[in-house]
Amino acid sequence: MNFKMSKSVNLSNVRAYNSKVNKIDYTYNEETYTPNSNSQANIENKYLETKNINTNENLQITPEEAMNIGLKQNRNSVAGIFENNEIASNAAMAAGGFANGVGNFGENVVDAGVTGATVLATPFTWLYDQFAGTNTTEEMWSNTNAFVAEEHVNNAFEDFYTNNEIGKAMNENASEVMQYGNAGYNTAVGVGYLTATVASAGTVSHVSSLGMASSGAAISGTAGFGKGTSDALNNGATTQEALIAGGLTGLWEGGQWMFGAKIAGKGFTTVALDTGSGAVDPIVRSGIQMIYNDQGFVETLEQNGGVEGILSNAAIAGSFSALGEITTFRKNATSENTISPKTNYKNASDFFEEARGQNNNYGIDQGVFRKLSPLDEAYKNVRTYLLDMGFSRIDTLEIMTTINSTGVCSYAEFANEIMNTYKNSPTEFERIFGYPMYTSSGQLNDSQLLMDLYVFANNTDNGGRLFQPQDNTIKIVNHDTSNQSYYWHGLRYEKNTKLISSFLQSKDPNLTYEVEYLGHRSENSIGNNFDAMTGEPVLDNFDSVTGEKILYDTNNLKARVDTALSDNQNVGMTIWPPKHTGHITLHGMADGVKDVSTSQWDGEDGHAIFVTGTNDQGIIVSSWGEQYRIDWKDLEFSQFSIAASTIK
Amino acid sequence: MYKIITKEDFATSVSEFDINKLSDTEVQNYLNLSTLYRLLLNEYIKQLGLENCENAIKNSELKFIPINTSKQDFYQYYNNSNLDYYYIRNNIYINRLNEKEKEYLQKKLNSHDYSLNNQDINFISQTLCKVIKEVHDNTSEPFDVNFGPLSTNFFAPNNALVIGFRYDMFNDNGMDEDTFVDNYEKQREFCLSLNEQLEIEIQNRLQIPVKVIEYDENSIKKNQNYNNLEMKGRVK
Repeated sequence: MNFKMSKSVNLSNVRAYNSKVNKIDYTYNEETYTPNSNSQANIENKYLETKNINTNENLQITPEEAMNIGLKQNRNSVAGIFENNEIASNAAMAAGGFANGVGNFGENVVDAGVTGATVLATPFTWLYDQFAGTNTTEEMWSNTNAFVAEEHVNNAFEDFYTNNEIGKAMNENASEVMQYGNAGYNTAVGVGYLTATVASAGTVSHVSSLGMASSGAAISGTAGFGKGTSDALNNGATTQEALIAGGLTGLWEGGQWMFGAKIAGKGFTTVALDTGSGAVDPIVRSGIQMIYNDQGFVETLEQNGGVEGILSNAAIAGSFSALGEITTFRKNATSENTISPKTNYKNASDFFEEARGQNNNYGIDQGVFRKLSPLDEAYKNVRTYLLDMGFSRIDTLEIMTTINSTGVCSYAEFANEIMNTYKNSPTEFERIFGYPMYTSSGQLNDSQLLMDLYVFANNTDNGGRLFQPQDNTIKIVNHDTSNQSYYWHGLRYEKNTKLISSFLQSKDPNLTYEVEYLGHRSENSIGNNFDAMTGEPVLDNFDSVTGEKILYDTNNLKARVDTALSDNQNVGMTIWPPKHTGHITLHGMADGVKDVSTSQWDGEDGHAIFVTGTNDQGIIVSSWGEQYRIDWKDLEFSQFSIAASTIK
Repeated sequence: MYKIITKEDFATSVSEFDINKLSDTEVQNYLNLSTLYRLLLNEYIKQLGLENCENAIKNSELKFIPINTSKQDFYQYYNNSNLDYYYIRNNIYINRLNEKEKEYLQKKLNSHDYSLNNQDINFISQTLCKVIKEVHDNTSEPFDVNFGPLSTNFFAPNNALVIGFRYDMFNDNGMDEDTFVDNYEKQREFCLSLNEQLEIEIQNRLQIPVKVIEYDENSIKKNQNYNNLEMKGRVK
């Protein structure tokens, strides 16, 4: 992937090292490592060869310059293949040209500083608009500060087919119907190609895993190249034709991975479309096969399933609705949601699973604000909320940046309790809390709730130490977030339980908060020396006579938790790192979610989590916006507190 | 001149090796070796893209103000990297080096020449994975480790290269409120994009997970002891 920067940075002025570093093999072998011999062997191989680049030691050339020189050479040789070759050009226009345009467009416009996710969606909505006669793209961009970016869509396509050597050769040598902007080009390839790309969205959810998307695209694209070339040769293609077919197949395969995973990684709704149906794949394949089978596009398509069947296929119909879902991300926030939320959730587990389908989070992510861009709707909503409260613009920025610097897990857990309480009555939620439970794009408005809790708890009027009201404003008076208050229903910390009640009653004086304890295991060495259920002093962790550790009986605990969940109570839990007790491992339950162990935690601070279910292995929880399982055996000899609460 | 990690700071960062079992002479040498490894690692990662990013920030015209040394994170302070915004956030477990590797590092230390050469690059690349990896007996790998408060903002895989990023976010540098806010939001957009690219770039080069974590004053591990012993050396 190019190392691209915002346009405000001119990297060509940045002096970069002229040398590059080998891709390092990190297989470590104790038996064979010998620094001197290895270094001797590697001296000549330590740098990658950069062909056709002036490697004069006195000339500093940036990586970007090297890339551009290489690309230019490649473009000229490929363009020549399309000269006077109508079949190849038609195929390329049908299958490959648009993929190139989407790729170039995406990178170029991101350089302009606009939201990458919206950029990636734009080509899809743009094509949708051509068929449906809608203004979806314009609506989508209307809320951004980069409305001018919409021009980049048209410019990118036109630029590719007008100025790019490959695109120009493709377009000029294609049949009129297949030329850019004409009916054949649009109907035959564009919609099916792109909806299948959207539909291949993966489950990548972390920023850093965009790296994995790049690798996945490279692997997928390479495999596609090999397969496409092989298929073509087996069907009588010349070498050149086979190479084109292989290259375009690689683009098709790799592009699905790249763009689908990127969209998912930016938090887009995963568009549920069955790519396995292959409904749209024949359109692309047909275009590629035309390079070497000397048939027209329609004939080839008929052999691959036919046009009418594909166009009427439910997958295509689904793809239009899927495109419609993408566009809702940029609609104006109004009290009338265009997507009506469900109101018949049976339990917390159902509710959280549905929420995960909307925004990739299983419950509230306490670190959400660090992941939001100032262009995101959620960011703007909360910023407006704080400004309306009376915070200055600078204080607003500081709060949104530092809210989770010390950890606000207890806030997130309590917010989960509230959301779960009103999962089937969002209207009631809005009446009580004063803002909608769902954003205009149909996602839970949990970031606003989280901020609401944070400001309330840390307001000096409510016993907090961070924010102080003054006249009609409120300001930060303590910048050290370690002085923040905590929402926690621990029996010993009565002031925190009181804080919960105070918050609720500030919204509706009739609201009450009741809590009952289901289990509690602590160790004497840090002073938690009573049983929350009975109030009696808890036994030492080790039998004073035998020296054996005393285990907590988790059998009854499961039964108590199950009963609470079936009664639709909120079940919250706190876990602590071990001192003399055992550690707790949170086992990630979704793809890509790794385990976390309390053995790695410092200090004595606990972590609050929300319980959504149990199974024979353990207890299922929401933490950091992800789903985890804690095994019953871990709870036998560790520190935890678990309680059921009701808001009514 | 390079700041050498103190015994007290070392003990708080690396718990699997008990430095107190060494003699006083051995302790100082061990700390020197640890500092040297971190220095070489920094120089290596700088070549892979960290320095480019650093320069991009400085040239961005978005007024990123570096953190004053007195307020630096424990890890940033001991990086000796001449970088203002980025630093290696991993713990360095040189106790895991084998005898030959320790010999190599000792020889480098004794030479008083701490500039990065090709042999050093090979050495670092061969030992990096085991030296930075966080381990735990009873958890399946890979697992997430919190390099800061308990939040995914500070999580990274246990085998990841973790790069800390920090600047003095709320130093208005004399700007009026509107200008500061506008500049700040642009900084946020810029940082999100820049650090994403940095992760990808270095990850592609190293073929191990890379995570850039942004810190502020409330989320860092504060430096408890300013160093009073410096390692003499020269950079070619």
